[in-house]
Amino acid sequence: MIKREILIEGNKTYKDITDEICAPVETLPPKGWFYYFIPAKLGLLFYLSVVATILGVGMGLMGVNHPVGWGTDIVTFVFWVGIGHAGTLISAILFLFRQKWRTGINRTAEAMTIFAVMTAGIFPLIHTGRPWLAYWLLPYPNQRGPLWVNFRSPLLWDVFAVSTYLTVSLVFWYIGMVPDIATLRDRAKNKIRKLVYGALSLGWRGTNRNWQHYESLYLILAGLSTPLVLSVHSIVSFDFAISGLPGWHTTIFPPYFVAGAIFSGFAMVVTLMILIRIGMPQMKDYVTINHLEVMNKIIMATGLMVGYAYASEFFIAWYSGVEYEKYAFINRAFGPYWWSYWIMAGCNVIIPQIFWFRNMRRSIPVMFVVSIFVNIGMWFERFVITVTSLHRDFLPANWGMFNFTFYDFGVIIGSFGMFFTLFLLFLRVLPMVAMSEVKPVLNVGRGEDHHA
Amino acid sequence: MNSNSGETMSSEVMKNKSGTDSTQKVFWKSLEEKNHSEEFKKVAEREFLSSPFATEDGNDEVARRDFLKLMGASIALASTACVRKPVDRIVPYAEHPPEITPGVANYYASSWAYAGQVTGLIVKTREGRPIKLEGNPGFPVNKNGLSAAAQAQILSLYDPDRLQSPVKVENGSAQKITWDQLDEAVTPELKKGSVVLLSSSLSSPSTKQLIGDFFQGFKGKHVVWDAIGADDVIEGQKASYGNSIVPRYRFDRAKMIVSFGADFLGSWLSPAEFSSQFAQNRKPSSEMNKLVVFESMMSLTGANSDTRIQVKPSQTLTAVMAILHELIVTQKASRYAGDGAIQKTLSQFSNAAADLGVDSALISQIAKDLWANKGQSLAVAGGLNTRTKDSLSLQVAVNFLNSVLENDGKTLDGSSVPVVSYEGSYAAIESLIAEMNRGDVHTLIIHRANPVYALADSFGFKEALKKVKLVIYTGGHFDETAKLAHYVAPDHHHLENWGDNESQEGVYAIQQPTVRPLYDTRSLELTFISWAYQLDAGPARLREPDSWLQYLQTNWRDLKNKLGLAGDFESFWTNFLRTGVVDTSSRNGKRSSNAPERKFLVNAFTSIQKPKSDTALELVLYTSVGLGDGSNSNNSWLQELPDPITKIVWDSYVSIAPQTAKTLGVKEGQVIEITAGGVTLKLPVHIQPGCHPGALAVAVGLGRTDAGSVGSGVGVNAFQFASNAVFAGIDAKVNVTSEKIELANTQGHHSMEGRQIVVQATLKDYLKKPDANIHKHKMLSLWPKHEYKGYRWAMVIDQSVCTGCSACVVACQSENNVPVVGKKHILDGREMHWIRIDRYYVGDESNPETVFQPMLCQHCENAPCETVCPVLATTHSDEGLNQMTYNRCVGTRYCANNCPYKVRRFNWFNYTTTLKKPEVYALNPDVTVRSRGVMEKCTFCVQRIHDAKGVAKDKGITVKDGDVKTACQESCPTNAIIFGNVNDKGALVAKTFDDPRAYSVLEEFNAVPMVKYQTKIRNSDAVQSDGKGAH
Repeated sequence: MIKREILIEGNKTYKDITDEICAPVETLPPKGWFYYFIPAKLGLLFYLSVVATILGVGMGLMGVNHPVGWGTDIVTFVFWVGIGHAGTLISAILFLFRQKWRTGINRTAEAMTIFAVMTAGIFPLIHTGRPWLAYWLLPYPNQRGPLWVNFRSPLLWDVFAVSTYLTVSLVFWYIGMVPDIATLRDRAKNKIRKLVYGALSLGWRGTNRNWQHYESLYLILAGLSTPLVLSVHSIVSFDFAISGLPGWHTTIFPPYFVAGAIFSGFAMVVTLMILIRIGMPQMKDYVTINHLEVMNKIIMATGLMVGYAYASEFFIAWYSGVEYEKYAFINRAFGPYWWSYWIMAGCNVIIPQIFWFRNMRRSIPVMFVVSIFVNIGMWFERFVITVTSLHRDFLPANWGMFNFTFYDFGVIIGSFGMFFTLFLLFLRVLPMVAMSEVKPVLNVGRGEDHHA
Repeated sequence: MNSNSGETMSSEVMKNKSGTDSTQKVFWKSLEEKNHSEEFKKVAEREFLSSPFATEDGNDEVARRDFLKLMGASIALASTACVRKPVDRIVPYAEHPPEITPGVANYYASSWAYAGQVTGLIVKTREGRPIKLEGNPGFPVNKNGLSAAAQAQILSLYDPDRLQSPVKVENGSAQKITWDQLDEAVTPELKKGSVVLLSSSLSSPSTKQLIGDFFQGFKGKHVVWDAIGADDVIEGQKASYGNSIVPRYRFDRAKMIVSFGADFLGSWLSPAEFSSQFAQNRKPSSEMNKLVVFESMMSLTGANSDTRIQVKPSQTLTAVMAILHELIVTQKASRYAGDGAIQKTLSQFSNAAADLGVDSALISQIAKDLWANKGQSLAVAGGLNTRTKDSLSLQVAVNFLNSVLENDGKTLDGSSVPVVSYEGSYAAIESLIAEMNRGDVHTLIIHRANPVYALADSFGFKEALKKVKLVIYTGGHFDETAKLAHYVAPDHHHLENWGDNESQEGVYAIQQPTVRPLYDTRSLELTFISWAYQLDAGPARLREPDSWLQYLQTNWRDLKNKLGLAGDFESFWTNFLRTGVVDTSSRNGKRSSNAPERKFLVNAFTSIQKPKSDTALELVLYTSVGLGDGSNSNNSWLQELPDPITKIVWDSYVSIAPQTAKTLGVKEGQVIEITAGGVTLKLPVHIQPGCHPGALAVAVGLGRTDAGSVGSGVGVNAFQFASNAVFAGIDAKVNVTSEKIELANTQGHHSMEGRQIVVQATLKDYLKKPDANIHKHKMLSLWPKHEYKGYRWAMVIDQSVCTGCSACVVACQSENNVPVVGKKHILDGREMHWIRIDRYYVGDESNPETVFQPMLCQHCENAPCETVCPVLATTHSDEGLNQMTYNRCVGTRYCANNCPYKVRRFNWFNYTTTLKKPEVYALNPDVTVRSRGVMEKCTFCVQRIHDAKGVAKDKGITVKDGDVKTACQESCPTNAIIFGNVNDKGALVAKTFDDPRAYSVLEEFNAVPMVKYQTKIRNSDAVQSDGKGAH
């Protein structure tokens, strides 16, 4: 029998786990946390002011123009939605496949998902000309006569897909946290904490019936989330694929986008986990190098899929015989935006190849750098798709260039501010590792005799 | 059209009128005060007029009738909000003028004349304010066509920078004064004599008569100068034939046209008229005309030519001589073939083809074609870009060519119905400057001219102006000339003023005012009448009239008799106002038949010397289509009108050939210093395919320093290069700098990349196969087609006759309230035009073929924009229109991304807030003003369709072909745009839609556009291709 690898290092007891994971929630943040939090908070404030200016003055402050009708907002939206894939994938799909290694990172990854989708959700709103009317995209009985939404529009599907995904992910995350919140409630010494965590724990008593219901519900939610992981980015890709624009109108988009999303999501999880390991050294026992290695393998695998998609797009452009499509792809690689294409290809396809080497897969500095490159590469992938397809389409008289401004820069930086602010707050108010899930796997790899 | 407009629209005020307001009902009010005590009044007020609108001081001036009006308004207001708003703004027409029905437009015939160019207008007014200008189809010159510049005059009327009263100029700043003060200051000086009126060509027989009368009373004279006129043509005609006129060119009769730099389709003399004539034989058929252009810079005419030959500016004359040499010496054609003196003159040019760097076979072919079409060909030359120091020789040579070809009298009329509206000359102003310097001018009145701007400093006008005791300027702006004048007596805008204009001999157009003057301005004519009256000088008919209208009518009583027009004056006058036109040139077929041929004075020709052409780089100035001589510089529509060739807006630039750019090592937008004509100016480079490698082309009309808030500081004043009235072939030195100016170009790319966008074919191929070069696609659809039972609106654009003049762009802007965004936003790619003219170059970049394609919403049957809008803001109507519901638009811009034609425009900002006070009156009330954050695009002028449907419904009929015209169609001088109902099988559009020459752009995309284009047919042996293989 092959010996399983240890999932939780440090030879811990159940009490150690509870104490260590509850500690960040129950103590005041150390100085180090503020080194992360203050820049993130400033980023958020900057974001608020940039967005407020855009809302007050007009979309024209950003680089979008004629012919590039979609720019940074949509690029960054797709980027964040993509990142939002890893968490649910880790929680739901890996749960269904009984991948026990997921327990160390699933909570954080899910939190990342939710914050990423929340961050992403802002963009479609601010990118519209009249965000104050964006609720018109929701089909609800209204008093504006027979006005209804256009169910043929991919943007509408997008609204449904993203909002469903956010809701289900949020519920899944929250339900998974209930036993842990109950632990926090039980350990709470002051009244307010007791009250807040008490309310959040939904009356959890840890009874047999509680656990029975909890396990069933968790399984159902995992089952519900799984297709969503695949559908969200498929539908986001329809925003492009359903249109008639060369470079967008491609049948490969749904799987290509999903692969890309998992790719970028895992890269972001790796980035965050490394930051957590640096910031909270006690977490090294839960987020082990083995976890990271597994994720790096997935990054490499999805990176190859993405690379395959890039190549197949070129093949199809040539094979289709459509001159506009052919031109669109040649233009991507060799037109005025060649640099963005090669940043994308380099970051997403070439750099992750380093993970073929085991010692590279297990090297924290290497994987940190690679994960950052993948994040950059994936932002550029969406930039390449959105901007380079639009900037030169059918009639050459329309051709133009995207016009990157300070505000484009502002929303990108600002969105990271928002994301990290939420994430850092999460680390201090909720248990960042699923205690109830870690404990059952404590003995994995420690020899069967230990187990009664 | 309204016959009462003479009374209701009269803009004149009584002369000597003081500033008091006579509309106060003093009599009525004083009676009340006289008969009632204070208490009684108060009681009465409480009892009958407990008006909530009583003014603060308790002095209730609201009359009973007004009170009722206001009460009605206040009820309307109260039902919407509790806040009481200033009610005086929304008072409706309680007693509306009989001719006005709110919501229904009134149309008045009028005209516009500037610097000799006379344009017949139909002015559309709504609730008493003019909102749109259209060509007067009854006016035989421009007909329905109206140039971009003429159309934009509506915006100039509402220019917020206009002077609002007369001013006294002190140290370059304006001090507001009254007309009385002005008259008091001016009249004593007038008595001293030596009065000079300097104006551009006025074209108005009555104004000229009045000026003549004025100078009977005051010693002085009238000097006429046009910054861009026709004096080169006139001098040439005088030397060649002895009469100082501009001939009436008849491009419609010419099968073979050779232009030596004359941009007759774009900017030369009367482009709308010439375009319309040119287009008549341009529809592809065996009778199709052929256009050959010799030019140094790429002009609109050159872009439309069948054969275009680049010559250096100084070699334009050589080009004419090359053809004459070929014709007379080599081919020994024409009655002049045996003339020794002519042979001798021509012998200087025996190597002309080589000098020009042109294949002599080409010259020989052109000569043969010309001779084959003798009497049916036309050679023209003129415009700033041909005004080298040999300009007179060029004109004489071209006249001689026409005489050789026996064209005189046939394709150009210099004797029967010539053009009489051009009078200006540079010689006149040069001698005036000399007189001013001698101190011979005591009072100078400058009218409708801006010499301080448009004359190069080397003329010395500014210095000479200092020696004039009193300078009065009548311009509407506090501009360059105004700053150096002593008084500015602002004239009315032409839409506020009466007048008449004579274009060709016997062709008169009325100029009706269509709005009461917006400001305290006074026409020059009334000013002269007032001064004559006040000083009791001049003939009685000048002193006696109360208004300029009265003088005008009196003059027309005489003119009517002189012209031998029958009937009583009242009915004549009413008819004149209604039709806008009096045309005696058509009598006895005088206009349409041949004119007597004039005898060419051979001596003028034999004195021609071969010009020297050894300079490496020559500067050539030219007139741009929109901005002309700079008088329109403060018009934002024209500043933002993409130049038909370069597509650049809001700037000056020097166009150079790609080859020259390589030699100089400069890139697009790089600034170079040009030294020519004694001045050095810095200009950014525009690399222009088709420019002669030896030419540096710069447009005049920019670089105004005091044009107003729009035009000041835009570009560089290229008139400064033109010392001694030489505008072309100026020896230029270039110094390359490292500076860079980003030029705002509205078009991103200039090659079709081998795609089937504008299809071109030669006439030969077309005659063999009408759908030559159109690659048709077999389209399949999963879905059954929609049925359109009633109307189905569609458009066909004939690219063979579309010259790219861009009149439609301004027409659309005016009709549809399209905002102007400014240079910065154009650079950001945010122009808002609903119709744009895509211009592509085909073939060799040193001398490419140019094609134009007006691109607007294609109203696709399978519109890609409609399916992707999440909120159904853009939908299809059952009449085939692709509709845009602004109120519903959230602004996702998905529709724009999915539009393969990229014709949708987004409101990135709230552009309407940039409109200043009077500018908003130029808005069309029938078209929604779009707010920030919504998409917009061409609607096929849906407001006009609704209008026509309403009219038809009232009559119980359906809309007939021709009842609806889109704004672009209406203004098109060549009638290249056909619009209508394709379900009406008899309609022109239905027939043209199925024409084999009609095709859809991007047919294979299967959007099924309702706009089709007809192949561009060139009357040449071959059309170039991109070398990438046609699609």
